[in-house]
Amino acid sequence: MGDLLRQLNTDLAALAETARAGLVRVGVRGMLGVGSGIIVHPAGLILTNAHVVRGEPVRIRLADGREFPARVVSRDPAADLAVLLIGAADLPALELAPATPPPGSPVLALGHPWGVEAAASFGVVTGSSADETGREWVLVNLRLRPGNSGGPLVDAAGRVVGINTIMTGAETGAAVSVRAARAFLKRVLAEHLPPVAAAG
Amino acid sequence: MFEHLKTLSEELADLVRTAGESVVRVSARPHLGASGIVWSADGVIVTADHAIEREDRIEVGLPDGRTVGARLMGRDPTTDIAVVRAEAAALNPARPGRLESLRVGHIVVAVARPGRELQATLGIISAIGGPWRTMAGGQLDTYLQTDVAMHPGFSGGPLVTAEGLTIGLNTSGLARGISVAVPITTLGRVVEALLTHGRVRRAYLGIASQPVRLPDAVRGRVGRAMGLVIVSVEGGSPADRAGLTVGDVIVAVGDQPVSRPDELLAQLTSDRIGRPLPIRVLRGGQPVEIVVTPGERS
Repeated sequence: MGDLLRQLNTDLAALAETARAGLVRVGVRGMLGVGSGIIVHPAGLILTNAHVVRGEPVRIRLADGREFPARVVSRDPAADLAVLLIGAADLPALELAPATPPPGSPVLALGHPWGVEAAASFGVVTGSSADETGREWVLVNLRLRPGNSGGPLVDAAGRVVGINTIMTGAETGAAVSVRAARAFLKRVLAEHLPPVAAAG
Repeated sequence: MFEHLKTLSEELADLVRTAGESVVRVSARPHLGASGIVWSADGVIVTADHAIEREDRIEVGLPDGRTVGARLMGRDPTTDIAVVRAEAAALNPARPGRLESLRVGHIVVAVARPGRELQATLGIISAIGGPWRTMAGGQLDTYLQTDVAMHPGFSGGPLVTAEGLTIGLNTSGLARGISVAVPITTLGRVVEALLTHGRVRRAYLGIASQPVRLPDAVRGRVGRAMGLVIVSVEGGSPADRAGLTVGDVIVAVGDQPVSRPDELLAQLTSDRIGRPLPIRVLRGGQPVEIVVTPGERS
């Protein structure tokens, strides 16, 4: 194996490890339904798909095995996004990318496809598109499966560029774009944070 | 952190952007656009034949965002290639690559423009081999298979090497379940024929045939288990004039044995038109050679 391939392998493994730390397992009604989630703030904020948390109670299992009950802070089925809060601190949050990466950018999807713990899939961004409601999607050449929903799509720098949401074909999937996720988080935080903290 | 991966990421994005300067959208069917490769600066665009569902009101979306009209110059369903001429100048032609330098495992990128925006996906060369006949009877000079997922609208776009060179045309129209690209050499040959004649010229006999099992006694002599039995002969056709009749079993054309309709089709290339062609048949179990002068398929 050549040097570059070896180096890429090392990078990919390190990237997967970083992203896995910020990946959580989302269980609904005693882990019967299983989805994925992303730690977006060290103080316990978790981002996932709205369709992952259709029922309650919701439990979160962190990468280190600890489990917490979660409160659904906000759930927006139209955006297919939800924000959860758990009573934990100093969590390894993933950074949100500033923008959607251009076509051809390598990405990793992390999640629990068919319940497989913390699986990583490698692919590239094929493009981005907005649907009729104006929602922006990141299109990928990845095999997203049930259990991937709500998990992070990360770029080569380990930043979240999308929330893995649907399979669009046997070998293609779509993630809610980081831009839509940012807008949603901003709205939720503005509504739910104490006014003083929001102003500060 | 992840320096090599980041470098790869940057290089891929640059590669896609540069290659995308030669990728256009071709709108010739309802709803879903297809992609096209800029073949020459004066507006020749190569695309997938199966994406052309209407022959008029064809539109081409250029990399700079403009949409212009285009005229169909020719199409060849057997290799899934169509050529249109866009009303545009000073375009950026794709740079052709060489198939000889390709190896299984090489990274390739499929670039497309299904809508206004550029799209791309990544894969490797899965298999590369000798000439391959399509189900429609067309001849590809090289078999070129990739693991690139064909997304909607990617047909007609270029398959690009890591050096940014175009080695083929992506299409979902040639095989089911696997990605087979039309190699650049075939593109060159067919595009030239389409620009000159508006179609790929093919020789024509005027028969319909189907495979049939050969009697045991003849098998050894012919070296094959199957032949092609003639089930109809068009009146006044080259086959009719030469005396081929229903029930004759074709076993060879020229010096090539044939036992499937696509093998017969493959022999009827344009250079056979108007030149005497010996056809070996079994008539009443006896081998007979009949010389036919193929016409041109209209």
